[in-house]
Amino acid sequence: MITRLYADNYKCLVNFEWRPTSLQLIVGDNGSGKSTVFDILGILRDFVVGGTGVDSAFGGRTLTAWDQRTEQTFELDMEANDGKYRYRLAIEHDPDRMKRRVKSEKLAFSDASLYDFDGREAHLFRDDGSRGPSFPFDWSRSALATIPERPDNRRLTWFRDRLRDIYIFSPDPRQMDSLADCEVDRPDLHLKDLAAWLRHLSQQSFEVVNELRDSLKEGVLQGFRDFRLERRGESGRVLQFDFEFDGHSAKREKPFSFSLKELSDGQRCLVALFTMLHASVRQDAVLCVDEPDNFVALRELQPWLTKLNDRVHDRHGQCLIVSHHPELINYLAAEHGVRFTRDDAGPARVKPFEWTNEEMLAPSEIIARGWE
Amino acid sequence: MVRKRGVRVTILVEDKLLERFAREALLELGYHRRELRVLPYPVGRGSAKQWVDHQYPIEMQAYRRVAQYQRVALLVGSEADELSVETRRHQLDSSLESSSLPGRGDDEHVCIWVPKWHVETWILHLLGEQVDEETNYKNRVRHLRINFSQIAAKFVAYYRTGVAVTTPVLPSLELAIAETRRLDF
Repeated sequence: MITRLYADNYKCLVNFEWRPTSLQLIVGDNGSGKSTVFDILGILRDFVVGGTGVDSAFGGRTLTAWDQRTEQTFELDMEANDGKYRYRLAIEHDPDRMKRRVKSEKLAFSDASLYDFDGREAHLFRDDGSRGPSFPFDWSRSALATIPERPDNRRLTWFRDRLRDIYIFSPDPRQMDSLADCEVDRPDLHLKDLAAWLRHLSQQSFEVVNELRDSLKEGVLQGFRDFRLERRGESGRVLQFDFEFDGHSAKREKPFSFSLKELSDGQRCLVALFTMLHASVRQDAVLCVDEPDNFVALRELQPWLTKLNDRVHDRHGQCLIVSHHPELINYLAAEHGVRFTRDDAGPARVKPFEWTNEEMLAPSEIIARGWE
Repeated sequence: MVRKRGVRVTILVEDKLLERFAREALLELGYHRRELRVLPYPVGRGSAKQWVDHQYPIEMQAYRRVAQYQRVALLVGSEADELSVETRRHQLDSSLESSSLPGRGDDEHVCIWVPKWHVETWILHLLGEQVDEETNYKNRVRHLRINFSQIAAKFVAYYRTGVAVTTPVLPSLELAIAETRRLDF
């Protein structure tokens, strides 16, 4: 579980520290830095796991606009395996040449080094704390992405695998395609490859697919009976949903079907929300969802939220949500809410959201009035 | 199991554990997840009981407005803590009186659960432990990994058969079982 994120000199985050809990709702005005923390988690994941280069990961105008410093710092803490991981990355920018380099990169477990890159050489340490090999490495990317798993570096590779299990979504049903040409185990931000993800899950995780099927049958999609991946051409599959209604099934007629694309925007979004709930809320994985409420009918949100809440608790998962929706705010903010704020266009800050019985207004109404 | 389709239950409770217990019990009774509506409750400072007392008349009025033509129900859950169950129930009755509302009628699908001391006592009882209503078990449950489906199944078995899971019987739970029959249509 991610227990701390620190960022300095990255967009609106200056000396910014956030300690997320297992279930966290982030509220705040537009431009308060809510989505920026998800951006950072995605960048760190792609940099460490995917081998993305520093120019690609930290390129563009990512330095804080009003800050003259040219160094960015990021820290990510995770608690697991009876200890605390701390990852620290410093990026040096050269604004004139539009270049940047890794100044230092470190990973420690309960204060014992696992990896240390000083800008020239990478030093590895074994799980027992002894010094391992050192080797010169390129400062334009992370050496962590290249280190193979060995019996004596399980802690290091465990951390990297957990970064891989950070799922970040901002569901956009209009981009979701019915056709899955291949299997995808890490779907994109907007879930346009939802069908390909389900194709992967149907091969790799029957439990997830069965749970999803049961959830959709609980009235999430009215009249839903089943979903399947229908062969299309040589290697393609089309995600199809079967439906029926009482009068129809009484006549013993076959269910009728729609492809994912033929469902409504809201129905596609519900399929996406329940898929991520069942596939990504589990121990050692982190689900980050930016505005899951878009497109979804008011009445459908709380059933998803209650299931999410239960699953985070029962499966020891972690879910971080950004939302402006009253339904999410009223259900989650009192216990799980944090508020991102900025004074004018200054740096973002994070504060707990407090709601007590002394305030006879619902949390969303307090936010709407700016009384928080 | 008969599905209670079409009945919409509003859940007014004062904390997360009671909310989870209520939701799981209602799901086990056959309600659909999307037929349950949990109202927000305060966390941290202040008394959650005052919040329930404040909301109860509002929800009662809302219930009465639509109960004549829709299948709706209201479940109110509030822990007795140091009070007796009777005192806490009386407080809830008084909150209706203070709002100039008639008391709860026998035919109204409004169910009141008052665990003594807390819902933790019920949970331990349903897990088969010997507990009583004189002892506060709040801290004993905090770190337990609770299988809520299992507990809900035992609650519903108790509701259907009238046979308690273990002895001694908990009076507040017995009363809640009787109250749950108010949700029948």
